[in-house]
Amino acid sequence: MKKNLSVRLLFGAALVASLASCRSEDFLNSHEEAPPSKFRVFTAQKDETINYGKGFKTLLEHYDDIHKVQHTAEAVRNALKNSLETTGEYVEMNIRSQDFKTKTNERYTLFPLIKNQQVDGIIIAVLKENETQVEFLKMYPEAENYSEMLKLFREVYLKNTLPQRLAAKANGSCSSDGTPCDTGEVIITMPGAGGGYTGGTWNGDTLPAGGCLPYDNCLNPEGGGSSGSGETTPTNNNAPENPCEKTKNLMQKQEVKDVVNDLRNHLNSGTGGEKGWRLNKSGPPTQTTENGAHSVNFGDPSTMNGGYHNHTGTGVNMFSSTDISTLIEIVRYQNIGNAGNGYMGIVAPNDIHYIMYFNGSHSDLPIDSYNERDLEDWNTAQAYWKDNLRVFERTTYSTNDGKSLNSKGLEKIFFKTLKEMGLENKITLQKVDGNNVFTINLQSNGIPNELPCLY
Amino acid sequence: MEKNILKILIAGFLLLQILSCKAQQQQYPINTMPFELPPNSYIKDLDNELDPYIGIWSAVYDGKQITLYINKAIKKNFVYRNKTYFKDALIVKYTIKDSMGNILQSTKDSTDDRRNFITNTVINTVSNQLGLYYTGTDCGIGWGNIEIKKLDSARFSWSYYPNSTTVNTVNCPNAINKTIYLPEVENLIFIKQ
Repeated sequence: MKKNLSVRLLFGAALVASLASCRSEDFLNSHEEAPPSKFRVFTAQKDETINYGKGFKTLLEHYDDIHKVQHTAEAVRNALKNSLETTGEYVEMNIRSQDFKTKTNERYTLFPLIKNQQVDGIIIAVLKENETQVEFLKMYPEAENYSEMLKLFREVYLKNTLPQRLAAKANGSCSSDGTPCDTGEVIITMPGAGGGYTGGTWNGDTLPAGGCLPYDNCLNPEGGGSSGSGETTPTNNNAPENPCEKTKNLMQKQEVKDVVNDLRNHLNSGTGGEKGWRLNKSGPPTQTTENGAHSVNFGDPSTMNGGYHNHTGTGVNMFSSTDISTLIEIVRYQNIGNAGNGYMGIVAPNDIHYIMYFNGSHSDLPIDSYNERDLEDWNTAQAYWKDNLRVFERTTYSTNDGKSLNSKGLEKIFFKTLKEMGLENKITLQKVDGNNVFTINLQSNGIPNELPCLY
Repeated sequence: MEKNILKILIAGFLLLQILSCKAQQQQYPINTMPFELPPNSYIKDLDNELDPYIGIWSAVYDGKQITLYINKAIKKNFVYRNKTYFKDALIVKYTIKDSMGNILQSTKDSTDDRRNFITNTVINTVSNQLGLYYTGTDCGIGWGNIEIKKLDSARFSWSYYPNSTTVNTVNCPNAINKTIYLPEVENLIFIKQ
């Protein structure tokens, strides 16, 4: 009897445990599979018609405000009020086209891009993926009706800012300090770009395509709006740090400060050779082993969050393909949903200090690790590019003595390497200069550009 | 009879195809970057700009005797990312001996173009400068640029700029030789032998 009871009890316990385990698994699955939330600004109340243009304006101005970046005239005005540096270009959200709808039910609105107080391009604000993702693209000049639409934006912009220009009497500008002109709200009926939109990423580092979370505008915060990179947020709904915030936080960590100082001291000591530090997942940073005159060995990347090492100054003082491949392996072993946490940094003579992050999700990682042969090929390519840039494009990319590359040349090589490695737009590059941090982007003319982080 | 004519026609057609394929190989000037060219492109030294560097050159640095054997390979095949291209290339082989005459490293008889291999990148005939790259040793350690500046017909200066390599247990799992024997120095004078 006792034996029977024990067996029954054990069986019952096993059944309960099994059901409980099923329940928790179901709960996890249902949590992971929650559909991405829509945006509040694009949700109609009762019989209200959705004003998509106005919604994009609200989103982007709020995004600038919470992330302390500048993409809109409003953000530039606020920065000037606070005596902060301003960006060279911004979107005038008060002037826009009518709202468009594509055959696949995507919505988009066009806005003028202002540079040097003139309309310099067209920004396409897009709502897509069943109205759960927003993206801002720069229209390609090859797009249908581009010239006509640019002309219409220019005419309205000039006409609406003319009184201010006349009043200011200063170089035809609205203001001498770069304050954006007040254009008033204008909606222009545009011909559209042939039923769809054609554009490339605009400021992808500071304004990635993404769901409602980075805009703090989720209709259903529990529903899981996706992050800036478009990945679903697995276990937390915190808005992801933008690269500027990430680097700021990293540079304030004592262990990172110590590592950077140590590498600087190593460079200044004249000892020569390379030195590196592993920023471990658990425990304090540890030095790399088997360092050589021109190499460091990071060992097992699965136990690291980041790595730092010095370049000696003799070669290309920029991340090599082997540095990038080490970052990729570090990222591979970060928790799902936290791919952007992995990082690699270098310091080199002449106060060179760069840091890079992966800005995609785990699904964006190369499936296979890079092999020795791939990396050798990219070394060869970097060596070729270095000589080509310093000899034949000397004025833009070379140091004055013509021996090595200036920062633009180094950054150019980095972006070319990313492209060859299939990682174009998947890695964010930042330059650290004292307390200032700059996000490096490749402009449409192929020349790298620094965008200062504003804190 | 008809069958024979058909065979001749087919053979002629195939021959034409082969000839037209051969004729399609594009030639490019010597300073063309190879990476974005169509497969089987040919980067040709059209004006024999590489020739002044051919020869045996030697220098002494840090007690070591360095001898460079520079030859020009016509239409040598290279592979970049599984794509073959051809190039008229200067191939720099070398022997480095210590002060006692013992060979520290020699690539004189090597056919390996992935390890300790040196060839040209760009040439600037106005400034008499030749860019080269060195593949480095195991896992690419020591890879970098070498700049040669021709001073006169019997002398050039050598500057080697090694780059950094990061290794880890994934990209370079095996034990490696990290020693670089090439002279890491700027403006080392080599004399033609």
